[in-house]
Amino acid sequence: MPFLGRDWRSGGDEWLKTEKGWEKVKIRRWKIFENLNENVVSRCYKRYDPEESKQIACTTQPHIFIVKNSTKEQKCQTSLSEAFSKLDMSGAARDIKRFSYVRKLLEVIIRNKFSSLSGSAQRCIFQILQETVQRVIQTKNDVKLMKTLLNDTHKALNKGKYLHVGSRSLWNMHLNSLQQMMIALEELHIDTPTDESPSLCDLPDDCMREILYKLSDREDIINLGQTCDRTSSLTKEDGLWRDLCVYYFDEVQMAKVLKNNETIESVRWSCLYERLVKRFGFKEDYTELLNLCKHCNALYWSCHGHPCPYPDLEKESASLSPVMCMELFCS
Amino acid sequence: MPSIKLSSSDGEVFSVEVEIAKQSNTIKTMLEDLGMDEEDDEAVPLPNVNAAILKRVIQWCTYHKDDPPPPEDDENKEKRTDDISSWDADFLKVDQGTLFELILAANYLDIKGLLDVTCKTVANMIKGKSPEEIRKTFNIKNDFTQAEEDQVRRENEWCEEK
Repeated sequence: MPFLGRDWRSGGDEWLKTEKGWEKVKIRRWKIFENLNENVVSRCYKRYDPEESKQIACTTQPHIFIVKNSTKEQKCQTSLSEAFSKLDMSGAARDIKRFSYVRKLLEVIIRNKFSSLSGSAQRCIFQILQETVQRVIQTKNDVKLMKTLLNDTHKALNKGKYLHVGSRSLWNMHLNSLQQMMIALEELHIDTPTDESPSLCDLPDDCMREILYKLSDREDIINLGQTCDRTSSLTKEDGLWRDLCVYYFDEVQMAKVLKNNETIESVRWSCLYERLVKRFGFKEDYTELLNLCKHCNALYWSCHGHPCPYPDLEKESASLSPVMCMELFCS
Repeated sequence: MPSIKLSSSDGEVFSVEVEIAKQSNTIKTMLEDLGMDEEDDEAVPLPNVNAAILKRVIQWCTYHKDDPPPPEDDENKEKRTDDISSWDADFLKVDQGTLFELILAANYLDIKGLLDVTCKTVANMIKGKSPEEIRKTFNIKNDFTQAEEDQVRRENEWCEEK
């Protein structure tokens, strides 16, 4: 049992100075136990099978029971930093399935609420931001999105310069680490291919089509179409755009964007898709979401499952979009 | 467990359980139509797949042997590109040449799951990149003349503005 204070059974609301700054005893205690558990589990695994030491990344089921508040101003009493560390947001940023959700969550928080967050919540957000940048650098995907997010952060930091919560040195620290992240992203560049390196155009048409059908952003498809003659003709195919319209929108919506004496047959599908996106917006679609159980107020990742022992309760859970999640913690 | 022998383009022979090999629709129909005997010692020739790639394909199929069969309907094709399991993501941390060859092999052997996940990986690499960046990433030669390039760009301006 680690020694944590004069009375380790205390409510845990005191602050503790650690090498990474101030932290609530409650979270610190939880982190220490978590770490101990992980060490024990990994040791057990190693004894059992010395070869497979890589597969133990996720031994816990990240979740948190939030304390709801009935007042209008504050929806929940649980702090953002506690919730995000218990939900393993940094780990989620490294996971391909949850990355887009975490990125969007960061985006809405940073754009709307950053300067009103508490100091420890700010630090928590920055830690997750750092993880996402790390991932982008590793995979070299989503660079553009990440740059926009960092620019947004920069704007938020400038805007909140004189009215933020927390100390000025913390704010300056954020600015510094943001600058470092921006530089790291700027330095990221794509290697110039040699003549021998494989080309996408070596693939036959049906494989190319298979890839094209995975794209859904109009801009991505058009950018690909501008690279060479063959991709250009493939991206103009009607079936691709028809598929997108049918997948994201229903007939009522399609009828609404048709102008006078136009029928679905007379309009090109690519135009129709463009109008639909313009009018109804791009549908957000996440692979993994945070869910909130209506019975026990547990917040959990859909991929890790419900933490209470009644599996049929899973149906009672509501999934939270990033905006809803933000509203839960930042009022 | 009955097994089947698969022979790669460069002549290497792999012995695979029939259940695993049947994830490939090409092999499945071949076995059903030709009624190959299980005691048959002759290897099935796969002239389009080399040994290194076939080995990977078998590795993928072995891991996914207990997966439920993919849905048949083509209408509701999955659009999410980040729906990749962490095992698959690790499996596909390969160079681009191997990735393309895996796509070709999955297409030829008609393994829907593998084709799906490899194409998603490529789509993720395309997302959010400018045309020039896409060309660089995938070594695509720009075969447009300046006039053609301008024309393509004009065509793709918002339709409404024409």
